[in-house]
Amino acid sequence: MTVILVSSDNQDFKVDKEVAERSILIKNMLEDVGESDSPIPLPNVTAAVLTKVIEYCEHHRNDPVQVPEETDDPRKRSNDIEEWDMKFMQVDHEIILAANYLDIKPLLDVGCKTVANIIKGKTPEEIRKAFNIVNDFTPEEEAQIKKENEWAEDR
Amino acid sequence: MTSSNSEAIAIPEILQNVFLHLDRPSLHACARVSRLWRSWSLHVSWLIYHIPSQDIIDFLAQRCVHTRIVDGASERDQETDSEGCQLIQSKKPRFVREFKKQCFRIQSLTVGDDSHSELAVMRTIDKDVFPKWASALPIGLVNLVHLRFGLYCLTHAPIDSTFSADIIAGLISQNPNLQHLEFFSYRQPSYRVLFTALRSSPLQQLRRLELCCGLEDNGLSELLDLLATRSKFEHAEQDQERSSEPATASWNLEELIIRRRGGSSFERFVRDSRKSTAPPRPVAVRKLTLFNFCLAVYLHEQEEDESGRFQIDWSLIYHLCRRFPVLQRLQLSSDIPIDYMPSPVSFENHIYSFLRDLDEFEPFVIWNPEELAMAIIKACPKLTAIDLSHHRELHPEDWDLLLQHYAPRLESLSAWNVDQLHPQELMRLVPPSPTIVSRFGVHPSQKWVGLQELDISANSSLAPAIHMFLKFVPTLRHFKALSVPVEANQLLGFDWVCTNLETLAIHILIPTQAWPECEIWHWDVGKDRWRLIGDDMDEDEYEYLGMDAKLPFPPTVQESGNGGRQEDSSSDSESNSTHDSDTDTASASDTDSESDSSSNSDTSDSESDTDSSSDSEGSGDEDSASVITELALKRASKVATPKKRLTHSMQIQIAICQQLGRLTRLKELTLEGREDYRYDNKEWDCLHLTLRTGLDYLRPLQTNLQKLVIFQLDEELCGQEEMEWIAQNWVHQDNKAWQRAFKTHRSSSLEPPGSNGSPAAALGEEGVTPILLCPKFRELLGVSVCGKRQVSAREANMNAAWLEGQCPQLKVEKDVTGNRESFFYGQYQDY
Repeated sequence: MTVILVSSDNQDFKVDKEVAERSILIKNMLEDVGESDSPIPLPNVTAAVLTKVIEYCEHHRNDPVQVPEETDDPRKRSNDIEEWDMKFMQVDHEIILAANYLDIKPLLDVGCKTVANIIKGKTPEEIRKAFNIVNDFTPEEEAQIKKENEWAEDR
Repeated sequence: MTSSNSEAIAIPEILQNVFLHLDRPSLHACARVSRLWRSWSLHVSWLIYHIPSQDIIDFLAQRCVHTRIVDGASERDQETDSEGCQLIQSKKPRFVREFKKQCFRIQSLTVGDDSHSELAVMRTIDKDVFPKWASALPIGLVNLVHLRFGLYCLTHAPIDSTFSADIIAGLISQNPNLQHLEFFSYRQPSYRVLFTALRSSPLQQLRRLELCCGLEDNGLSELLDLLATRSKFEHAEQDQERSSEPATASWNLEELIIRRRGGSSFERFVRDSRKSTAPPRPVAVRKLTLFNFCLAVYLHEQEEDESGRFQIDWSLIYHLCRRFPVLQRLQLSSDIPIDYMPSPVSFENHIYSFLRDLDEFEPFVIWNPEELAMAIIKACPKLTAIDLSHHRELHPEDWDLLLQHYAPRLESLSAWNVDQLHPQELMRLVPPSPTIVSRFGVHPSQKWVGLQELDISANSSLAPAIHMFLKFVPTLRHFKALSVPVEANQLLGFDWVCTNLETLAIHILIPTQAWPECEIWHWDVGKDRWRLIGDDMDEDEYEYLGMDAKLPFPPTVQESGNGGRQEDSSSDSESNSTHDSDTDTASASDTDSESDSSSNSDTSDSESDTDSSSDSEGSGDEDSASVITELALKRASKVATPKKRLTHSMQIQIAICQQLGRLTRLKELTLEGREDYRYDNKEWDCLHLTLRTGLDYLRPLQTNLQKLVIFQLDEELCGQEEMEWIAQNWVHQDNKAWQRAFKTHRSSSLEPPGSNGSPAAALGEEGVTPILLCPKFRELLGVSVCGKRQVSAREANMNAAWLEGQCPQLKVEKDVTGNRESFFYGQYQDY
């Protein structure tokens, strides 16, 4: 069975239901609507991004669905990224936003791991530069924070 | 990922998810980036917290002052603090204040350590004053989801029995949402404190309970009764009269793990269970793990035998299973250390050195064959994972029944060092081949879940079954068969179907010449199972199976594509054709081992053609295996020095490497073998892992391979070419700068680049250290540097050092063991 997904720029995508249901958002929508041929609008996802998301879901269509209890356990987090996923994430950062909107947790995790790997080993200034973040601390605050952080950094 | 993705990480929930994948130093850096980042990084950095043993009194205790002065209490508290400040680092009070302020954020807390190390670091002054301190938990520490509590104190009894008891009781009582509770202690009475706390706390969210402590005689019974009281069964029955515990909410405990520490025994539990006439009180746990317990119970009340020994009751499994009717995973085993260390000791002896106590009993088995298995099946019909490693109480008939019953839903079987498990029983887990299934239309095995994990290490009798798993069980992801020497002949002639393997540990015997024997399995249609053609069959059975008893032949590398056919065949015509082809091939391969490489190719071609024409039901896979093997041989001939011929051993090694190279999902590969192995009056070789013997076919493993363990393998991986190959193909395969520099260097020098001590200078074209792009390959363990065959010890050490220099993130563990023991390892050796 297939479903039709409509991107924000009005492009239709015909996708296997099994693949589309990797997105919890779409899965819930399909359950709410029941058996229907109506297209599913995704106003927050462009066609370019949706193409990539579908590619990811196709690649992982046979993966076991993550159990929320396990994925929520902070001790079970790992930074391992599969080779295919690593190459996939190098293409487009907007996928993270789409994964968050569509509620595709494995894809969101891959995206977040990729960002985490960029952050690792960088100084605060390098991080700001990498992500275009404005330093909104006053010099006094910065000095205070540096002092406060000393105790924690020793742990 | 580009650098302009600030839009995504501006969303707090995404930012939090990113931070969850960072280590503590990175989180501290993030805390200084911006206000938003600071708030979220602080939040995440407090989610997981560890209080080491030496800090416990600072974080979770206060000095117990028995004062008669009512109005001076505050002054005395201050005095205590100031006393502490003099004893410890100046920063510690700030740590404690911050902890008490932020502890409401903590979700996962580890208190103490689970080893003896704490005694070494405990402050001297604390030992003197410890009994004067009492538990004082911060009031904000109420949001724990996971608590790991480990205090070992063998010499300072009061610490463990009173102080730690207060802390664990307090932590449990003020954290009702705990989901994972781990309790570690050596002292026996300490578990009672835990049980008391568990009885009085609701803990409705508890999913996993792990105990690592000494249980006294009735400790297990007490625990199971407690769990039964809180299980959904007794709540459903409203059976409060039978329980002395107060009525409490039911638990939905998923997993119970108990590791033996100190003098724990199940004797009381088994005796009580045997005597009891009441039905067992069921516990609604789905995963049960008991590690390192002695399963034998002496029957002192019965008469001794002629040797003065008491009979032994082995019924623990049965009595346990009766308490867990919804059990899905049963693990009664040992958590022996499995981290690789170079050692002359074989895997079997390694096991025996850890588990000697379990082997000192004569197997006085009370149960009749099949009786125990029937009882287990009746008690726990839903098992999907079984670990009964190192067990002696189950007969072969029990194993047969168990595996037959559970095969359709079994996902994992661990049965290392179980000598009562034989190939015939193990083959219950192998479904019939697709050819057979298609011939008979439908077979129940088509609905099997599919075995994913199998560990049959240290049982050499299971070798004849190994190739059948590689051939017909495509669902396997983890397969361990250490110290189970399997003949390479058996593993060739077909493409290994289990291409999803992530872990493989295997001991491969490489034949030095073609031998005309091997085990052959046939599908017995009447009995609906695989059977090994052997001496337990009479002439009628052969007729029934439609087989020629003289069929056996060696499926060597020249006969690619035959292996699948012989197991599948069930018609006379096919058998006869196979037999004919076998005779020719055997003689051809004998000749072949003495011919040069060009004639090898010709012989293989003609044999391949013969096979294809005579193979009326050969699958496409088998044909493709044949073609690929041919290509492998031709390619190896080019790789090898042209003037040197390929011996039979080398051809087999190449074909094995080719099959290993197809397992591109492998994360961990363990290879075992000896070059001087003698078994069954034959000399065997092992994988050499050189470029000449097919190492290049392992290149595709670069996709996922993280660890290669050379477990007592007489390889030659430490050659210069091989070390360079590893650096090029498994570590730097994506590192263009390194590859360019390497090629430049290689063309200008025959010496390994950087062997003179400066790899960066050797490789960096403009003095820039090349970027290493997240290589998967991180561990090369047990590589031999003791100087065998072509490579001297000096060269081997130099080459290994070069590899380490080129790949700083790669852990290289060298094995300098020259001679290895041959006791269990070579139990069939007939020198």
